[in-house]
Amino acid sequence: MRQDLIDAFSKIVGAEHVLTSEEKLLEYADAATPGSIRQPDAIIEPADTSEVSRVLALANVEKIPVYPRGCGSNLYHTVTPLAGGIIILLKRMNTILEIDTANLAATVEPGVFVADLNNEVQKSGLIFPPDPGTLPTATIGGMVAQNTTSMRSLKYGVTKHYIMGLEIVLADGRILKTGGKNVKDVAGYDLTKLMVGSEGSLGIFTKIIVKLMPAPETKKCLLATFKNLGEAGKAVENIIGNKLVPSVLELLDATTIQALGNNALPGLPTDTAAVLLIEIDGIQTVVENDTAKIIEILQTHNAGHIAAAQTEEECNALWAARRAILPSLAKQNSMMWLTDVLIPRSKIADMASAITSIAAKNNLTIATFGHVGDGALHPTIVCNAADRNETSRVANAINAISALTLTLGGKFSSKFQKDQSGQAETYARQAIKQAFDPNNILNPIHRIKEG
Amino acid sequence: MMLQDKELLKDINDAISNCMKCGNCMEVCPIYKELRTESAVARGKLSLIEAVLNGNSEITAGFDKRMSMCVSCKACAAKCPCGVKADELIIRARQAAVSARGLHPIKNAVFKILKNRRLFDFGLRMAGLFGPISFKKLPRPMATLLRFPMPGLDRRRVLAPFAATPLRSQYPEVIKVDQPKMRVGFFTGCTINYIYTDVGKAVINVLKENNVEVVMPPMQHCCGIPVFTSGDLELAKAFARHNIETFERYNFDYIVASCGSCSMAFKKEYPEMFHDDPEMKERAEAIGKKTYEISEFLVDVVKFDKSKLGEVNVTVTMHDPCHMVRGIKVTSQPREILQSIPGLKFVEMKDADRCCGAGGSFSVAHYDVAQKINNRKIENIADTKADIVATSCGMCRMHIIDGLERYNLPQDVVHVVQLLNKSYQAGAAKRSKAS
Repeated sequence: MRQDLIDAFSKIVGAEHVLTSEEKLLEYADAATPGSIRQPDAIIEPADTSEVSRVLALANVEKIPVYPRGCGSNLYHTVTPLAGGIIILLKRMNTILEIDTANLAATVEPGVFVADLNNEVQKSGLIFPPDPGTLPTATIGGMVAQNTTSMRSLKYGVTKHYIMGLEIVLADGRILKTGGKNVKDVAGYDLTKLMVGSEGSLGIFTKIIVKLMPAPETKKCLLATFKNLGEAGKAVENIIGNKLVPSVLELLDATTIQALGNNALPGLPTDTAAVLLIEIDGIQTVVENDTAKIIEILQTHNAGHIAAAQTEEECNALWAARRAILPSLAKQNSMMWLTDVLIPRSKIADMASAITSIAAKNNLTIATFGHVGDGALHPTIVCNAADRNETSRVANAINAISALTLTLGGKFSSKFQKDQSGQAETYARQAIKQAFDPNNILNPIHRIKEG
Repeated sequence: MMLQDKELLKDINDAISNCMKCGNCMEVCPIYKELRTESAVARGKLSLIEAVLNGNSEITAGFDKRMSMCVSCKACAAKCPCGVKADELIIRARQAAVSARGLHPIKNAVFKILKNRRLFDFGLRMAGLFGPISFKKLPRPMATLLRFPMPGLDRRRVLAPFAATPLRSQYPEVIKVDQPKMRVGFFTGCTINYIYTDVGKAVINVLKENNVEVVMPPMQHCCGIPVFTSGDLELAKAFARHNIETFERYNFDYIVASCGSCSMAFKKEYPEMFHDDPEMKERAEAIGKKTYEISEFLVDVVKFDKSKLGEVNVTVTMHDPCHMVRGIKVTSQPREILQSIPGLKFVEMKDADRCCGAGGSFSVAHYDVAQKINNRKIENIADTKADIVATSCGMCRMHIIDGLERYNLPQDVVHVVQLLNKSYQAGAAKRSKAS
């Protein structure tokens, strides 16, 4: 990067917060995304909104690509500086500014760890529900940028349902405030909703007002095994169909269970083709009633083995196993492709079974698991990156899964995704991007895919 | 240059590629919690090692600096869902850095002295004799401050005084008991021989109370962990070989150490250091199998005599040293000892197994970060309202005392075995009063 630019950025944030050493740049060349590696030209650590604003104003004039970054744990390469430029590291903006118990809201800076927020609000008997749970150091800014889902999305919804207001620095450095603590708090365009999930391409969040919920009184966890995927899928359909809404409803197929190994979920029958993990939370009597009804439904669908976790530790062990899925898969081979399938719940069983045959046909390992309660599956392919033949089969499989998803009325996304948006959608997206970021400096390469 | 750097790390290529960069290590890394930068945490360090392996970077001064930013607390390895032992890979990277660029000058000077057992012994005896000239005593026990600036040491740091007479010179080589039920070799380690002789005395008394004959081989030398973690593998192996040979000469039933790191050296690191030397590996394993940390030994092997214990009326909390909890996995035994002491009230602190920030020489080289990590520990200690903090590592003890002093808190920090010794003494006093 040009010395005069480094000097100018240093003037804004202080020289010690403009990082350009070779080793630093290498450390920020990737995140939890396979295959995308590119060094930034500099890493800038602003302390507050005003510094973010001045950094962006300068980057905009100089047309330097900008990538906001929390802790770099996302799986979709949106923090990798694929076009070069600067990473704006939001680690110094990590204050919980206010917990407003009367209005069930908290105001935080983007670099706050979600676990830290949850630990704080817990003291007042509250929760911030969309905690992804996979990584306590995930930052709130990152969650908003990605519109993160959590294991509890079935009952509690996703991040977008919990963002009440934002302070955003726009590409040219102007500061925009949207929403607020009032439940509606908007007339006309809901810019808060537009910003959630914008993946760093429309602006940089500097303050976030989140909605909080009362913590559930109690919870219960269940594990059920099935001899075939179809029965598991039918059980899911029936649980929801009977107006039961567990907080968690997760499906793991045989490949996933194998990857986890025997220790993660001990005591499973050897002929297990699918496992459902279920959590029911709320008021004691309701939880007990719902649990009894769910167990009945599981039995109707020939669940082989139903275990109810008796203690908090047993419950935690189930979620630890769930969290260990991706890492266990990643360990199996040199490359892992995670994909997202969103599909009506009634098609889950068909979809999961079809993926099993796609895996067999292409001679690949595809593990399927996901938040089936909200119709989300993550078919995940592990392969040897150096084997050209295998990677071409991976591409075939991804295309097949994608086509199947669309046929079944769902949505598909992966790093290999073909653009599924129609002409009108593409036009609308491009127009928004153009309006907010005419010089295309905010996370440029990533958004080109959409445009 | 680049090619050569790559060669130095070649053998860990596979281990490095297991890291999926998920960043779970960020949750538990004590340094990341304070600095929140990739270079603080295992993920960033492994990326840098990977860059050297891919030929995108070299082993630079910046590489050395980053690899030194690790307390070796093993929390990342314990957390890693992919089973990557990042702490060990970072030590391997330090070894590569030492091969490529040599040791840090201060460490180089210190290790030169440490290498020579006699010179080291002489130096530390002198330090004990002349300690009062260079150190100012603080009111609390075992705490001093430097009077003059010394290279590499922060003058704000509370240190412990060197013993006027080292532990091993205060006792004969063999400490006999009337009807010994077993004979053990006591590996004292440096902190206990030269600084915390109170721990050594407690170990000896407690073993005597349990009819165990204690032998302290005079030829024993530093366990080598400080040298090993600094990346000087050859010197670490020389220490390991020396200690193995020294303890082989006696036919001990068991070997006992009262420091988590020294115990880990004998039990785990020595056999691993000789992974490519089958004969030495076998000998190291034989010694390792006989070695126990004192709490582990008293509970699992000796089944220590609880009938002779007297009352010790204090409230105690416990800090688990990293090498105890994640190194040799000894956590229940020290608690069992504490809870068996009549009158003693035991309270767990929050995050008892979280690093205190000492990390051997880490707290010397990076005192500011070490202080920040320590602050969290001190706050957790203060919350328990305990009178005493029990632990099993001299470095943790010194570092926690430093933190307590900064916070103006009155608690003392002792080894678990010191409280047990106190209880045996109280029991004996009561019995003599009764008779």
